[in-house]
Amino acid sequence: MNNQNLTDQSARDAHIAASLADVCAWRAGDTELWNRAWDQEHGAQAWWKRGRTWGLSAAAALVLVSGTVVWRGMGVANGIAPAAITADFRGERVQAARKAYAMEVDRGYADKVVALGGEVARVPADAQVRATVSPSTPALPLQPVATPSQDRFVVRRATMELETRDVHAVFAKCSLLPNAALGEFIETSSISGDGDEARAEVTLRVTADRLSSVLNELRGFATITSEQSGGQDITDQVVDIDARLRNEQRIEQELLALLTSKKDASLEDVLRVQQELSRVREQIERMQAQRDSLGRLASLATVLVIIRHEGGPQQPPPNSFKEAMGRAWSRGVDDLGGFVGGAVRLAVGGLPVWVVVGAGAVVAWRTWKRKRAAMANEPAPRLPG
Amino acid sequence: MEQQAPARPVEDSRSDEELLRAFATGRHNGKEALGELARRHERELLGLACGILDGDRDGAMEVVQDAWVRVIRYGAGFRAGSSVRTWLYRVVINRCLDTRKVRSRQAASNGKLHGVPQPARTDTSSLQEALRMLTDDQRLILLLCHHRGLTHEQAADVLGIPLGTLKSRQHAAIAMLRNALANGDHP
Repeated sequence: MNNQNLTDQSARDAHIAASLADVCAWRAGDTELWNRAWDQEHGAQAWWKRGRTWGLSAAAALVLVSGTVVWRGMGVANGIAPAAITADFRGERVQAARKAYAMEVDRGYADKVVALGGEVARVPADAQVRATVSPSTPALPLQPVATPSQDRFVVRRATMELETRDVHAVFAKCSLLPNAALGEFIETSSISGDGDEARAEVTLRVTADRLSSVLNELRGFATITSEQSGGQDITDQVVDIDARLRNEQRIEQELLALLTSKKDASLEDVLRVQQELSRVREQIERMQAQRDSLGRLASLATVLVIIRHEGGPQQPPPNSFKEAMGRAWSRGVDDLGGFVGGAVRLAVGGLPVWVVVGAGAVVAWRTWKRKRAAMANEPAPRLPG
Repeated sequence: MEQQAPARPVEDSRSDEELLRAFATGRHNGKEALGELARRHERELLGLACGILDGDRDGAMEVVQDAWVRVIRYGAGFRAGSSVRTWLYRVVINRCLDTRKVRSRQAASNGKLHGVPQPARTDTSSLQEALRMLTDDQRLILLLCHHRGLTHEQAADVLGIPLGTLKSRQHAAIAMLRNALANGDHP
């Protein structure tokens, strides 16, 4: 009876096993599903989907970069980085801008002098001694700068580049600008080339008070391609010299008083006092000369006018191969400097944006990698029940 | 005149892992490697998916096609923590279980049997009816163990459980099935 049951059970188990295998058998023909999957992944639709994703990513990156550039541009326009970028910022203008940048007023030193001797008049808090103008923007009015009579000594410089069809005529007009009666004069002038290659340079010395009007006149002569102006505050130097001068003059007075009061002094002592008096007077004269020089420097502004023919070369043609090579080298170095400077400004100025973008990219990359790794390594099925 | 038998395609001697690597790197004709991999496993995978999905062939084909898409997309990232065959089976089983879950949710919301494909009735329909009486866990183990594509060791590997556990669960499931068939308490 038991054997019969076992036989029945074995037969039933064999039947179950066979039936189960049968349930899991695929009787239909070849399906080639892998081929369909291949088409699904590499077909036109897949490319469209992928292209759309890449296109959106590229558009987002473009918007981000454009936004950064515009933001930086607005920062420059608003004066966040003055003299950093101009429309054509290279060559001699680079040098001029660098010089102007170095002319920033060191007001701290003046304050120190005030604290020590109380000799300096108060410096206006809103003193501004430089301005940069690019050709694309209207000419900025010059900041009011005090003249020597207002206890402020500023050496003013301006550079203006003009383009005209008649270089000689503009050159002649420029030469007539200085007013000899006011002590104004032409420091240097040169003109070369003909026709398209004509080029002239004039350096004018005009009184600081008249600088604005002279620049306005120059603006009317021709088309401005570039204009820069700046100033160097030398008040500290003048104050320092004045203080030392007064001191030496006091010593001179004391020595003179000594000579007149001690009439019975020995010849040796008198000679020694006179020797000292002579040294002090020499010192006074030297300082006086320096003081006068500074005064003249501050009273007369320097205006460099560069005149070119419209559409002509920016510089006169080189006279030799060596000069051409030199210019090419100089221009190359300037351009490289401009490029590196621009890259650094973009990198440093946009640092917050780059940090955010970088962090986002790292997170996205790591998520993508983790997801890929998870998809490529399927976990064992979590058995229900 | 003696009739010449059709020439059998030359069998690829490369292992599954080598084929997947060849496909992922795109060398030695990557698509051919994928085709060879499919020739080895597609029928077994379809059979298993069909069994898990209660004989739904269309559903099984969809699941297996998805598995191949997965291989195409992520095959390059496959690490040899398990065999390629195990990976394929896991992908298919997990996808089948997901499909069953979705269908049971749909059935619950739309009313019993509505939306669930009815399998074609075959000579194994009584067994399929009895299989429905089992839990998903028991049914999966039975199908995997009696599936022609896998040995018991491989089935244990696919499910990530020890061989002993697999066998004991299999015995328990067979006993349940036997009882269900003997009592005929399936509809």
